Amino acid sequence: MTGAAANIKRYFEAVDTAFGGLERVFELESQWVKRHNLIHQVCKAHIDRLRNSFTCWELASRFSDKFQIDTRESGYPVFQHVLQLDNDRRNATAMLGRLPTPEAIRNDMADEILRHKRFPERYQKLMAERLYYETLKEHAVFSEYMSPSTVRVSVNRRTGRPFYVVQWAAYDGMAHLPLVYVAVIEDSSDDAAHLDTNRKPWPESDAVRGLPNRDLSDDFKAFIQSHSSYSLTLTTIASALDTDFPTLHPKQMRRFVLGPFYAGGITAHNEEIQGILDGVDRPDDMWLFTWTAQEVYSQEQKPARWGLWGKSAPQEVFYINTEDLDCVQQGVSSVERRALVPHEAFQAVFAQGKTEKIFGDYQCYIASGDNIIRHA
Amino acid sequence: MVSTQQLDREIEKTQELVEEMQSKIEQGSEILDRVAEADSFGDVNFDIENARIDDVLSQQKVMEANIADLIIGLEDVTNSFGSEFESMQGFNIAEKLVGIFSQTKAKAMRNDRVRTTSLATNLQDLLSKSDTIVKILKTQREVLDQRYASSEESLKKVIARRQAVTEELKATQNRIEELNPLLLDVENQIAASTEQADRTKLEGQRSDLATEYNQAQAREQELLAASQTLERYTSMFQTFVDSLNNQIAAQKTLINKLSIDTEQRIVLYKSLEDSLKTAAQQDVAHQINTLGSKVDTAAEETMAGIGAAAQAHIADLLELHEKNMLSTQEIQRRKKLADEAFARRFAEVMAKHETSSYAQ
Repeated sequence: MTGAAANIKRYFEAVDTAFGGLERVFELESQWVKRHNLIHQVCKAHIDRLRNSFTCWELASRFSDKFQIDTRESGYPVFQHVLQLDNDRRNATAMLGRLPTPEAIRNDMADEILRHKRFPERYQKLMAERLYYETLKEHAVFSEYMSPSTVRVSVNRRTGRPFYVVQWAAYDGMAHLPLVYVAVIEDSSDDAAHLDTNRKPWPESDAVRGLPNRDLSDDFKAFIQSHSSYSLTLTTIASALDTDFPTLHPKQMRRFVLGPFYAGGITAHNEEIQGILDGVDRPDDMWLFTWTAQEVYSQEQKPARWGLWGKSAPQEVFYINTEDLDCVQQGVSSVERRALVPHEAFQAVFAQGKTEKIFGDYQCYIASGDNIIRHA
Repeated sequence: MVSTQQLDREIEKTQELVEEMQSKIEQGSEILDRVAEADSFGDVNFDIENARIDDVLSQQKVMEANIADLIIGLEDVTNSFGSEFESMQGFNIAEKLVGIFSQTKAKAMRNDRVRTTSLATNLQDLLSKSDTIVKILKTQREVLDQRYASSEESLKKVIARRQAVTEELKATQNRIEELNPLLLDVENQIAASTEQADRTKLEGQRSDLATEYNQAQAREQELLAASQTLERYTSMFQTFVDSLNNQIAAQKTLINKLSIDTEQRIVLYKSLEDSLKTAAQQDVAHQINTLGSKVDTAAEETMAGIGAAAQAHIADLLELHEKNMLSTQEIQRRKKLADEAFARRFAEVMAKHETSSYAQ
């Protein structure tokens, strides 16, 4: 196995372990904090998609000429690969029709080995390609943009208006990072009342595509599609939503930035992270996964005005925590940074007495096999 | 959205051409295989086969030119995406009209337009087109690789056969050289001999030798012809194998150019779209929010801190920019190499392409 192939293998193994750990973290958090259940549910769905994507990418890396990872920033595959998956998914059925069946490939492979006494590399690639398209056809992958769906509907008892918990996700093309959004949006449209909001609680399995308010659903989808990039702050997105839809009032918006991901020896990283990874002997533990939860919420609503001198729709005023420079910079109410660290790496850092320095801003989760410990 | 129908049609046409080409290449190497295995060459019509090979070679030129043309066509199409970016940066007619009365209003209108335009479909379209072309190229390359391997094998066999024939020819010629003096010797002995029994024996010997001599001469003629035919075949198929090799190199150039082009375009367009959109609304949003948070008394206290943070932020941005530049530079460097290779190989096609246009 060449160095590049070994690296690719190690990268995918590390990603797999990290995502496994991440799923455990979300699961545990939902047990620790009851209200996080919805978030867990949403994130789990998207992490599943991401893992499917990685399965596809791993197969693709076996038969295609190159596989690129953004080694400088995110540690994720570059945006082009995400587009490629979407593109290949559309052609999957046609491609599967064209590729030989697994039995045929196996026969050819045996033939190549026994009769021609050659290494069946060609057929290995063919098989990888076949599996790639099969996985793409059968499993949902993480696309460039995943249209919103409503996970909960409830009624604000004070105003009597329905509110929706909406989620959507996108893969940012500049930062090469997957983003998951969860927003709480209040609906004050006149016809929002006809929604059967008494039928509570909203059946959990019955997630609605788009918004329950059908009149706004398509516009909302279009809006989300052009407002999902990482370079836009949450405040920007929320205020734009507030202005574009006079009857929708974003009360809270969260964004989970699932990355960056560091893999020792593969991604380029700063001294601190290098310091963490240097303390690890086993290559299996040479990784570090960080993610960020950003949140912005409305602190008050400026009432609508109808007057002789023009009118204005009600406007949300979002709280930006000016005490915290990080929050000001990112234009959000709060930022939570999390890190998932393999046990051995954390031990090494702890032994050097650098935990506070390195993980000071982070809520740390330590992974040891399938067990997760939350660092208090 | 740019119209790309003509390019689509071209792609289809090329696909057909490539398929036709593949069957021709197959025919070519089949002939080669047959020659390598054939016992006699009587059933192979040299002129027809030669014409076929020539046909394959000329077809190959046409096909390569066609694909190169496609790639330049794709470049034209994507360049026209660039004009969409320009329109995003400038004001359109309605906005200019409004701009006469109110600059702010015009700007707001443009910002609205910019942030609602999505270039996602353009990027998808671009990727799927280049993907189709790359697939054509790759299947073609696979066929070529396979054919190249088997043809080379056959060519080796033909060369080995020719060698065997030449060796046999030499042996036969040597035998003839040997037989000549032997025959003379026997004839002299016959002339000198007086015994009837000896004469009969010698006559028998002479007749044996003469038969062998005649057979050897006939064999020499046969082998000479075979050697000549094989020589012609060898040079003919040498050309064929060379051309296969050449084609493989051409395919590599094309694939390389196309994949780097696509990579660069996606990175470039995505970052352009992103920066345009961000610039359009980040300012506005932050203006609104400073209004909103004015009441916050804590703001004043943190102002000094924000100043420092802003500077740190700028430093961050600089670093980010530098990193971004690095990766763009890397792509640029690779693109330059691919472009040069492409221009070297397909200069003619590029010149011809100037006269036609795919983007409307």
